[in-house]
Amino acid sequence: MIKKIIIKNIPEAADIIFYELQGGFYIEALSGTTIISFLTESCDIPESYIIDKIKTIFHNGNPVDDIKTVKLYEDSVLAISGAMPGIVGAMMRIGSPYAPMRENITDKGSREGVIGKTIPVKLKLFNVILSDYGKRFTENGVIFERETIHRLIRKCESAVGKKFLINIDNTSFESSNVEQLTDEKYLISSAV
Amino acid sequence: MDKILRIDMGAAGGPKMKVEDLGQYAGLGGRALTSAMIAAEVEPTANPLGAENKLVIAPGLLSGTVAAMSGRISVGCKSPLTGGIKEANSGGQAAQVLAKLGYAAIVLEGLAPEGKLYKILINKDGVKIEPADEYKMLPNYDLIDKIKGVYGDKVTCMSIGPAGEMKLSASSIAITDMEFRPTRHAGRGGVGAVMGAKGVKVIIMDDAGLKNREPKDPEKFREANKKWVEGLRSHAVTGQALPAYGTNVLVNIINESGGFPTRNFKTGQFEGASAISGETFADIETKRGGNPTHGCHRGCVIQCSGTYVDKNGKFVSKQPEYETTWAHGANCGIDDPDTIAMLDFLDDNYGLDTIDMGAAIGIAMEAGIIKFGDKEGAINLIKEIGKGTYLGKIIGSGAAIAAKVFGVERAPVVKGQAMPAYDPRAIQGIGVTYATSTMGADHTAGYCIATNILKCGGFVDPLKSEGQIELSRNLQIATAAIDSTGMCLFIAFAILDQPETFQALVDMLNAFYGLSLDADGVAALGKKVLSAERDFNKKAGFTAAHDRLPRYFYTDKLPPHNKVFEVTDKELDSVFNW
Repeated sequence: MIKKIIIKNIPEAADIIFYELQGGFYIEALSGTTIISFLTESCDIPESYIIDKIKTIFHNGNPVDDIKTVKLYEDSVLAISGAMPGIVGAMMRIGSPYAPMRENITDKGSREGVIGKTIPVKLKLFNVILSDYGKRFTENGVIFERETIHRLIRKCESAVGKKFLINIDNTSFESSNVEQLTDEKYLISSAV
Repeated sequence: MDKILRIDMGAAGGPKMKVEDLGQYAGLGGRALTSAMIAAEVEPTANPLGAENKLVIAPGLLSGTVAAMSGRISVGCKSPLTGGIKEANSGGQAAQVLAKLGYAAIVLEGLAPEGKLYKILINKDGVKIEPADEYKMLPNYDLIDKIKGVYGDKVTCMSIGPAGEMKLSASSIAITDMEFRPTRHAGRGGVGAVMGAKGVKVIIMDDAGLKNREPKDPEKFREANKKWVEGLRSHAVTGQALPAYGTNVLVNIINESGGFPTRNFKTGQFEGASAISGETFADIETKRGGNPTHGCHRGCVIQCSGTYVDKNGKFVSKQPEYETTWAHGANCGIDDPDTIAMLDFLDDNYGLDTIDMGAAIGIAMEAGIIKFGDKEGAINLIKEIGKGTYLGKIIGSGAAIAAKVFGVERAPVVKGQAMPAYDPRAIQGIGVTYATSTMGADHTAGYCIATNILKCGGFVDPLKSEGQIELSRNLQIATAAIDSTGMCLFIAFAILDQPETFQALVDMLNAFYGLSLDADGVAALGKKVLSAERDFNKKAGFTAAHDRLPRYFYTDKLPPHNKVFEVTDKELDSVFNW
């Protein structure tokens, strides 16, 4: 059971949590699901938006061209982005004519694994996608791994210049003791 | 742009100038002109800091017009860093102003007597060359402040900082932006050292009283420019990502791809990437009262640059570009935006190539001079350059020299020039360009994209590594052509997706000059430029052995993908087969 952290009355917390979406947060999915299914069903992103705006996708650090073929399994990390500048940015785009120039790292969907198991998929949001969808993911709290939680609580301390109280499953906890949070993941949100 | 200004800086009795017709250089601009001139007039075996070398400054074919994005300037010479031909390209105001003044090129020739320093003033009334002892060893920002006090802030300057005066091989030429700050640089290859050797501290250009250049067919030009702007504004990259986040939008992407060179190219991912991403910089700038959306020259509609301020809202530097953020960030193990912005300011102020500086500091860290991640240490190393110490001169001479002096084998350089922010082991195609470009390791040489020139997109078998060769070849051809127009290379993305936008560019060229250029014509121009450059380099002593990456890229696997560079020598040697 993932513990819930609420950071109350620190206005900077919402932005700090928002920008940590770049580093990755967790969404549940079923293993063996395709990228397109994950984005539309688990992330609730319309297919029209995916086609129009999400022009660069990495799966485990490998650029993807076919989101209907590549499947997600245990430990999958997915990063989604708009169209990117530069020749290398152009190379990384879905279906780029310059794909041969990064051929040796392209994910062609050959990996196989267990199907149908509930898995946490790490999702990273970049640039225009972060801007368009970030707030929607953080609205009801977002699941981060422990190190990210430590980092963002320290950032909140730095922003307010002092320690503060965090609510963890309705229990108060001092921010300066953040290293004592040892669960793998936490669900975190902010409230003003 | 119907004249060339030649100044012999070593003439008896002081610099002598003459203005002449374009002659054999008619119809050329930007890189086409600088490379043609260097190839024709500079002895390939000349000493780059000697009298035989020339510094050619040329706006592009469409600079000084109302065409959007036409503000790039080319600076050409024999490079003191690579020993080969060089074209360094920059934004800022100089291209627009010089073109309006009617000059297709300024050519600095000869060698000023040791210790002599000059300023060159150009306006609609003519040219003056005057001693500039009062500017000796001034950093660029201080210099511009002094110039503002005398000439106002509506002029445009091209200047060298102390690095160029000391003739350091990684020194740049600074160009003022629309706010009259020396933030844009012709950075690569030591062009600042050549300007220093010629004894020129600053060129001050004033286009007051002059109008934009007029096209031969104004109606067609206006129509083409309108389509051009529409294409740029509607494109997702040029219309959204770049204006919002700048070139630094690439940090997260390249890091994710595993090709983000970290700690002197040891690994391809940096754990601090999101702390220095374009998204994070834009957030900081917005909150502090800076500006993440800003154009570097008049006529820019992409607006990819920005201004970075400190916690108190005070200006620190321009928004660091992707290359600076990588070079002074991940490559040095630094994840602090404020430190990176300060390093960017120091590069600009002393007049240094930001890429070679980040690479040189990475070398110094590898050698144990300072530790990876040492923010103060990195800042102090750049300050050593400003002080003119021996350590500073080593760093200011770039990564290749620093590696030799400090005994570091792993120097990420090709033809003496430091690699930019993409590791070729993860991204093989960029490695082909690094290895074979006439410029040394260069990420912009094979950059521009025009699908109807390149005839690619499904035509290349992804199972064949020759695909990368053909792509790199065609990209280098197209880039050489586009560099001749004065257009900013970021137009490339709109051209990739929107053939009608590329056609609008060709239509603008045709309407302006009364030509009938087509895609083949543009490709032919690009080939001509590259052929001249290759020929010069060959005569300067370059062979196929120089079109290679450093040995360790073929042997040391790069985490996280654990790849090495696999393109064969035979394939690299086929890039320029036409």
